[in-house]
Amino acid sequence: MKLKTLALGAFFTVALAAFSQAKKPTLMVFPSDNWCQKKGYMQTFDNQGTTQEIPDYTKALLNDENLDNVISKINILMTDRGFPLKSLSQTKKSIDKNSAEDQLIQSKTTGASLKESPLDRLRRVAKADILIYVNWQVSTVGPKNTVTYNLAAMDAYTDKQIAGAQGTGAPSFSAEVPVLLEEAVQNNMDDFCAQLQAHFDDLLENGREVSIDVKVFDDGSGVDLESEDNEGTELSELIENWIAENTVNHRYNLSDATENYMTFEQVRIPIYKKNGMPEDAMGFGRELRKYVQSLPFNIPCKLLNKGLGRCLLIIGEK
Amino acid sequence: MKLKLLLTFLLTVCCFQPIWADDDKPIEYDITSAGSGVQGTYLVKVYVNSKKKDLVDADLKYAAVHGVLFRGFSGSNGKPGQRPLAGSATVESQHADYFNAFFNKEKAYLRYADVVVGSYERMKMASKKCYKIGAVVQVQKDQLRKDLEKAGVIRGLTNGF
Repeated sequence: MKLKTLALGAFFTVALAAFSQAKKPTLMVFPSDNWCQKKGYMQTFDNQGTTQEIPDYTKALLNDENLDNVISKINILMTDRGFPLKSLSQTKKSIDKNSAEDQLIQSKTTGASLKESPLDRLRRVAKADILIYVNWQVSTVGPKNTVTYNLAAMDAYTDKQIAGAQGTGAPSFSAEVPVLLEEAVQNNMDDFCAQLQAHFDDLLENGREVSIDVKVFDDGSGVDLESEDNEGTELSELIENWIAENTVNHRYNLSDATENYMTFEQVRIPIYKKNGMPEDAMGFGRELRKYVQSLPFNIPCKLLNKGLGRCLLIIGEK
Repeated sequence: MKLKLLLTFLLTVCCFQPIWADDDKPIEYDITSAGSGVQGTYLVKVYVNSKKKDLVDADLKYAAVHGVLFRGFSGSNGKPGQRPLAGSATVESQHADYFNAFFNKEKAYLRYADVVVGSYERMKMASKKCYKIGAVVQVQKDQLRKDLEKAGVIRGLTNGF
């Protein structure tokens, strides 16, 4: 009986490992900041006394037909590859709709509304794991039009450009700009996808590359990353050792650290957890949190999810 | 005497060996971009060296599909170049059985290419005593890629996810 149970357990473990799949990154196309600036689709806001300009994607999507066509064309080609993109316009609509609905939700018993912190509101923006920035410019020489097109895919967590395509199309006397743009997207997509493929292959072979931030709550407890355990080892060293032990081939980079924060970049985490389930930065961060809480410092930790490839561990309180 | 005969035969074979090992299968070709094709296709210009004056379409299609798969092609004057669809030339030897059937036994490559009517060119190469025959060929690259992904010859974007 025991043998049967053991065999069944082993079968399910092997089956789970064999058939489980890595978490699929989400992709979204945005107009580049440079394009938005040139077209006047920017909005200004006062950032603590400094006037800053950020792209106004809503205005750009509403007013520029070419942008809509380009995003749509990229989406069609990526869907054909089995990798549909998150739609920027649809995501923005969903955020607005959900936000409006959330305002109206009340509990039956006390009439309580939904809890929302300022951070929750700030993070309610269109986001994806891989951001694809598109830019183009039309050059006119006499009767001829030429389109120069640029596509760049950025990893939202490591800030690395993981794929790109750039080129200038053939000059045309007769073709209209939308046609030239369509041609530019089409001609550059295979090269772009080949680079994306190389990135995914690397990810599956060497582990997902994520960033992990460790910070300390200023709660007056006196505990920071320089606090020492009974053997005189600092908390920062214990955390770094844990990261080193749990990354693929011990690959990580502690890019910056003080007594108050540590920034780990290029952290290669396994694609799958030990039980065969897909792993991401949050799952990896949870294990780190459990480890820190198990240390003799006896301090609670708060873990914040920042997407598939980034998380923040705050030491001191929940 | 027998040895003499054998040597004479070998010498004759070596002297009259054609530039191409097999007249029926062109192994020398050039491939460049011929412009933007419709969605899902590449438009390439191929030139095949042949001893025959009239080359069959199959040879041009072979050159186009083989070039798209393993060589890629360069572009110029706004005509787009592309990388090899299979990734690199080594893929051909890694999946030798598959491509042997694809190009020789089953001739499946014929399904993925169409010669554009009226695009034929023929030049006589006096120095090599052969013809350089060219044409614009439309290659169904999306379908080709999907079939290769299905056969496990190349990886797709969604593999592993």
